[in-house]
Amino acid sequence: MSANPAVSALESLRERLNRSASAIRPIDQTIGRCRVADRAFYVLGWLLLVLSLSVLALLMWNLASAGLSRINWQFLTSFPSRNAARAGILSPWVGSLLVMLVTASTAIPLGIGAGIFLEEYAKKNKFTTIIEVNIANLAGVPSIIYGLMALGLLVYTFELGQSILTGGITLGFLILPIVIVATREALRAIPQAIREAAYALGASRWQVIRQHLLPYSLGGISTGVIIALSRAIGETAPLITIGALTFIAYLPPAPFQERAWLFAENANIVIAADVPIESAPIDWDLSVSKSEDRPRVLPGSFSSGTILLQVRPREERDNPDAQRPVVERTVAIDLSPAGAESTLRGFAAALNSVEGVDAEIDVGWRLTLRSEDDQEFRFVRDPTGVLHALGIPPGGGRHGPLAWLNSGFTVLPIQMFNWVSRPGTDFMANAAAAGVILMIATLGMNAVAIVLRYRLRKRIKW
Amino acid sequence: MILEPRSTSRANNAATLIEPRPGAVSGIALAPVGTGSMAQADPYADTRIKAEVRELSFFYGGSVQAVKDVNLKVPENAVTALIGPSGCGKTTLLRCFNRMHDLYPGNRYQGSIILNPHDGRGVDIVDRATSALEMRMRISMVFQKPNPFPKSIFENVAYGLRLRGLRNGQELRDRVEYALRGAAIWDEVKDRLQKPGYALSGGQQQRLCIARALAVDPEIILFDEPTSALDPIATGRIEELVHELKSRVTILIVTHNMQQAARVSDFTAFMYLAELVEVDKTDRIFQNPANTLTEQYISGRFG
Repeated sequence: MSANPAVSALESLRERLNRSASAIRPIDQTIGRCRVADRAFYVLGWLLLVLSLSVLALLMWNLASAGLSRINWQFLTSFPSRNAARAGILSPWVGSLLVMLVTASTAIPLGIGAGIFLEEYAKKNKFTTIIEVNIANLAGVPSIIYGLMALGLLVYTFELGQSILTGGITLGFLILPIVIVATREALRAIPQAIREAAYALGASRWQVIRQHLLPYSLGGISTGVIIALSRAIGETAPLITIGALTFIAYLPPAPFQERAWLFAENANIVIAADVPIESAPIDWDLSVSKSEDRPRVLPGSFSSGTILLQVRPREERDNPDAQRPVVERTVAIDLSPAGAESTLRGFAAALNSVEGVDAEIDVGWRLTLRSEDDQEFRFVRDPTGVLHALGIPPGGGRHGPLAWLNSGFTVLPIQMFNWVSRPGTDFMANAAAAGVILMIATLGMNAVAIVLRYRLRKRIKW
Repeated sequence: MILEPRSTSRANNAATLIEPRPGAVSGIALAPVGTGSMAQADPYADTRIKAEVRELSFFYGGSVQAVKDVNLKVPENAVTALIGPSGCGKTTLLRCFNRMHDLYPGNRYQGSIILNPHDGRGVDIVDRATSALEMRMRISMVFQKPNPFPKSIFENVAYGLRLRGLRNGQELRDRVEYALRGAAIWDEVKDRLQKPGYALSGGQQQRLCIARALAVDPEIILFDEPTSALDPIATGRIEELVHELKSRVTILIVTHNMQQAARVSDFTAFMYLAELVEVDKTDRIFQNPANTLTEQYISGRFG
């Protein structure tokens, strides 16, 4: 025992420690210092919390005080108008709602499917690792990049138009990474033991997913989806990029709606036309408005009238004081199904008489606008363009159940932006009111997410 | 305590390689071990063999060998315990029986486990051509930690039956009750079958899991350290249950607790470093092991 090296090492260490005074701080001093630091951090934390919350509160109060008085039934059920007091947010909120519908039905199945595949099926190899890293990266890509991609792919290549469908899919892509990540997190939170319990009874992979993993992760997934949607509902940049309208005074056609009905009921409109003329060197802006009070048009009793067609260079639109005259043509329209084609021909003829523009009509109600050097711009679908605005029934009859997908649209944040950029305080109040509505929508969605998570979570424990 | 190496068997070459040191703190033998004793009397003389493991090796992720050339007979309507120190491969071996390793990529089996080797309809459990789903339906498993589904007590037990296509009705209710009674938990849960399974205590949850495994009337139930997360009273109940169940079903149980192995099992297999060192009737293993390693392990000198 005497020659045990461990024991002698221990003794020499103890000697050395005993020889000199210890630098360890006395306990009461140590505690005193810690208490001061604790206290300081507590106060600092409170100050920062109060500061950040009061900035938020100030913003909300500012928004509410400017906009709350404008929020009434009329505001929610009126189209935008040149008259600030008569303007409303009917088309923007319907647009936001429908775009969100498309976004949800794109992003939810795709995102959940991809999440399940990556988490439950995919083998872990280099390829899937690259995919995983890039999904995380995609969530950080600026939203305007998604807009550019959608413009090239959906609008130009697949010719889906500047429609609700395009807008919805674009935002769907935008939030896809968030949904995928939320799905994977939710699946990962399920203990492996639960999976093994199900597999051990002879369940197949799909049965395990369908009967166990999906039900148990529903809380996490739906929270992620809702949070993602509440992000999408505030997006503007990608929608402007794909050509969402900034001012629109019609609603997308309801399923099976009578075609001619829509615009005739809204006389004070009509534009069609912030339609960007794709790659046309002469940057024409096309606007259409009625030259007289609207002809009353109801299903079954079509009537006729004339419209004023205005064509002017785009740069002029942004500069109201520009001297350049607007080219105006009056076109007679006949809103009966039989007269629609001749109306369109007259329309084309009027356009053709404008210098630098060459328009013709294809069979199947396709209006083509052609510049001198043969650049083409086609009004392929009626809601994005002129036919719709004119109330001409292309082919007559009723809209299909999904016709609204092809309709042009605007959304709440774009409408706000439009109003904010106008002179005068009246429109500012409108913008603030629209902002309040948007906040209510967003906060409401988040509240639903919280409640859902809490309630589903309570039913599931491991 | 007997520390002399026993050389009861000619086949046991491990014994000669190990020099037990009296009083040494560590007696862990790192020498290669033999493939078990050939006791003079066949321990399986009056049993019917339910499953037979033949030259089974198992590799994790394609390379790490966790089970090495194991031969083992699992007698019908009896309890066979797998004991051995942590990491010896006993749980890995157990999970070969219901192909749980198939769930993770890269795992590889070699050799065979023949289910019902003597009735002419023998099937190799670990053969790729054999359906893993079928094996899992015929061979149930109870896990280390109770893992009820976050569903009602009733649905937990009914799940295996539903997978077999049984719809709601009297038969489903009867079979669930039969399983819950079999797992000695019916009286505790009969009034709250619609309550969630996780609302039960740990011991009750484990018996619920046993009921779940029992409901599909399996040929074998695999127990993977079923009491390691339970208190002594709950453990006692599970052990009793295992004892009762063997008249209905063949049982293979992995345990860390040697007293448990001694209490509940009829046969005990000792594994060490991925190999099966010795298998015999439980009382022989604990009173008169043929292999020195086994003797050292059961007397608590390593593990």
